[in-house]
Amino acid sequence: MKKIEAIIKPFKLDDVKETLSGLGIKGMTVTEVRGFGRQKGHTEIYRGAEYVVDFLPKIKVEVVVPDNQVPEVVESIRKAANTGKIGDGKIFVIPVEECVRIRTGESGEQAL
Amino acid sequence: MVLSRLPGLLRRLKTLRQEYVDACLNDVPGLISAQAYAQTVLQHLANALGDGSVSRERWCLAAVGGFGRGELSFASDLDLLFVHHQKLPATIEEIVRELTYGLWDAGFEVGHSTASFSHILRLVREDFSVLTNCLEAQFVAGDRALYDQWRESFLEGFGANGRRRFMRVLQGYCEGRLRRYGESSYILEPHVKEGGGGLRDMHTIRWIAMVFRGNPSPDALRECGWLTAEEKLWLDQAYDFLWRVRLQLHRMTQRRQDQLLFGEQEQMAGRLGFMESEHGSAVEAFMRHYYRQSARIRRITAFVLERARESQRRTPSPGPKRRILPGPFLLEGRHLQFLEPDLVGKDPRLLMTCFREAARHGAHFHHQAGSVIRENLGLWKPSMGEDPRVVRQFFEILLHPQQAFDVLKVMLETGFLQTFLPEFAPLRYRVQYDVYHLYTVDEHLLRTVRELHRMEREKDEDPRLPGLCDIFVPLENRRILYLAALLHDVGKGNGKGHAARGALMVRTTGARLGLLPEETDLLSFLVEHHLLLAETALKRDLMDEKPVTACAFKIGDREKLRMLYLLTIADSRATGPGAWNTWKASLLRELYAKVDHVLCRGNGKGEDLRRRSEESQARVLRLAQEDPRIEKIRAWLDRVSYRYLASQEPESMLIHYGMEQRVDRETVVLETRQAEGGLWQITLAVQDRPGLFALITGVLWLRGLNILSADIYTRPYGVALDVLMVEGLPDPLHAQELWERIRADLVEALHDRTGLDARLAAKKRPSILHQRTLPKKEDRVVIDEDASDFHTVIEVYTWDRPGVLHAVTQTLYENRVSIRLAKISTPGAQVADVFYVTDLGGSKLGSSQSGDRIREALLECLARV
Repeated sequence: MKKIEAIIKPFKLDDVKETLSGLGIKGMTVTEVRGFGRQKGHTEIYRGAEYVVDFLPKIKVEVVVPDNQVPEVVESIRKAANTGKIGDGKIFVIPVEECVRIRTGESGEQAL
Repeated sequence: MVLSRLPGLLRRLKTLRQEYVDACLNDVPGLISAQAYAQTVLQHLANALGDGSVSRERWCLAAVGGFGRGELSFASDLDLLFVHHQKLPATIEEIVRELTYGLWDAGFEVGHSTASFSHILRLVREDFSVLTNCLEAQFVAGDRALYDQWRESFLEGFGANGRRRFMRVLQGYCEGRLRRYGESSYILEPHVKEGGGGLRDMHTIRWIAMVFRGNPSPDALRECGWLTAEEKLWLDQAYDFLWRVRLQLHRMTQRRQDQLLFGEQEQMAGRLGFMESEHGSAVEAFMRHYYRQSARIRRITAFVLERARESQRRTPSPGPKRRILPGPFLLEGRHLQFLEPDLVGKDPRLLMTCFREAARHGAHFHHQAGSVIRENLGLWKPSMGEDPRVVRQFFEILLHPQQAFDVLKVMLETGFLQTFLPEFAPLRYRVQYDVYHLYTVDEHLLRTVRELHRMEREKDEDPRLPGLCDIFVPLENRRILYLAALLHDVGKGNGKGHAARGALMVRTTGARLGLLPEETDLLSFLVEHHLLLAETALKRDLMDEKPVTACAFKIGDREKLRMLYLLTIADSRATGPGAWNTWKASLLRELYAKVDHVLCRGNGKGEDLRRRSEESQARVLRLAQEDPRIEKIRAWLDRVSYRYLASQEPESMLIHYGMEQRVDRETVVLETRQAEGGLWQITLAVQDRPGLFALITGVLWLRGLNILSADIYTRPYGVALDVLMVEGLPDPLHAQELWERIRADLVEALHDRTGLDARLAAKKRPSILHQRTLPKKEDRVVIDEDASDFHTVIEVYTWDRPGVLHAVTQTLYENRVSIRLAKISTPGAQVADVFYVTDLGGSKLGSSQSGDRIREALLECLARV
């Protein structure tokens, strides 16, 4: 199992959600986040200390899938979230040790 | 627990599903299995819920979607719809929860909805997917009267207006689906359910039958004449085949995957019992069958849609304009049909006239015309195909600027084309199993004709190839060019050498069509050499006179060259996106100009290399007149090679001179220039050393660049100047940063290779993201001593994978081979690398032993990558 964490532009959420449903992904978690990457925020000085004012709003989508589905999920998110401009976001793939469905106690891939 | 029989039900369903999964380990009958399973599941559900322990009042449970249709894979969703009166009774809520949770926990995917009677009727009006989901339903449990009432009210919504609305939305739905699943990737790896000609097309037919006839079975459409008995039979067979494929696909992937990927296609061919034969591999036979079946479904679906739309014309209105055309044919609006179909029996040549009329008037074929054509194909006699009037009509269609493709396509689909040109029969749906050839051979041939028409019609449509349509103007044998486009791959399907085989075959065609002997010769010539220009442009050094004069010698005159050039472009453009790009266009344009130049001079000889280099020396010096370094430049020009002088532009040479002066100080001097399209030219000046090129390929690959060609010039004073053409910048917005990083990488690697090697090894480690299987062909290495006067030419063919070019260049370096020029093309996951090489002393490799040694080393290295 792998967790796929995608940071995307907020207005791309619908496209990403639609393409993931098309792949038969049954569930996902979405969070509003703020951050910056290469596009940076801009830096300001306040009382002598330098700090970054502009964390840009992004959406984080998290899905956990069996290993063999990782390539198509990553590729689909990339296609759906791509505008070709700076700030399109990033996709991380993280190993998942275990997964438990709370109601039933099932574990492993069948609990996905 | 309200449902006392739930545990038993779940146990039985799980056993049932497991038996289904086990059975599908082997090929099983498709549709029957899907229906039997769905029926049994429904029965179990009905028994468990309808035993009297639960009240049946005020609610009912219906199977909808695929379950309602009565066709399920073991991996399918179970679509359930609970309908209730006004307020949901609490006990029913319990039932819904227990049942759906129970099914989930048993590993079934449940698509369930609970809605009141009026709510579901409203949903159906508002949401097309809910509507189609509910079109086919079956009663499972609860209040039967409520269910019947719901169905009645639901179907009442399809009066004249309801149908019209339904057809309008359905049209948009079908178009959207085909747009999404009609992309090139879905052509090679079709989607069994949603793709064109997939299961969904059959569902569409059933929806139409339901809405118009109140009965989803295609039999209902046959009764009202919307489907012929033959079409119905084809539909049933094709649908059953798709279900067989789908069940095996779900079994192999262990999940509901409906796209038939390359990795599964080969296994599938084996599981369904397809065999290798002299006509091709098992997987090609399987895919050919698949395309044939899905094309049938697609075509019949289009007919049914058309008939449904036609039935909605309001009869009292005057209707579209009607005209009688000679034949006689009836042109009604844009639809053409036979006015007296019986006449075709007396003279089947009317069939060709029908197609000709369609081309002349830009008409669509009425479905009646389609049936008449198919029914009368058997009456066609070979002698009719030789009738000059018929042949004239055929050429009129083939040469029609706007309609040729559409009409030929119908000729192909109705089977008329292969009746008229029997050469076409073996090409129907013939698959070439790779990612390069996007279309089946028959489709590709038609598309080649279409591309030719486009090139002739549209002025300078392609900025890469200015003035294409002007080349057409002086063509005397235009009709032979178009015929060659239609027939150029006619020899495919019996192993290597299709061009030569095709050239023989078209001689018979020419004789049959009554072409003049010189026309037949020309046709045969074009078919035989349709790959010549592309092969030469992509794999030979165009600065070298030898391949250029060899082309000129083979082609012989300028008109033939023009025709071959046009045919080559049309052929490439009709092959697929992997076969046509800016790079190939510019190489072809260059070769065309050079061959034309040789033919123009008429003596069949190239220019003298020495004279050409002297001319370019003079031009460089003229450019540098004001330059204080002019004397040094003059001395430099005397030391560089003829090949360099003959192949580079004078402006570039001055830049190169400047770069070489900086090598001592800067180690790596790098200049870049953006070329057309997404291509970039990189020029590098470095102190030469063995293995330098392998090092450069390694660095560029690490940075994600794709090398298309490399010219390598080694100066007598120990400097190497490499001119590379690359594509695929990962981040075109930050090109400058990339060049700086590449320069830094090179400086570091020249100083110490260990860092580079470690990074190369790391990048080669398999990533979880790249596990796609693609069709592979055997690796091949060809060593040619005759292609060039000064170099040995090594051609390496393999499949594309990370770092393959670096591995090949590294192996050449380890075998003491010096690369002078490289041309790399990657047509659809296959790699063709061509190297012009010498030994370290600058001579041809010469002996066959060293050739064999290098071939073995290369093959061995390819096996390792």
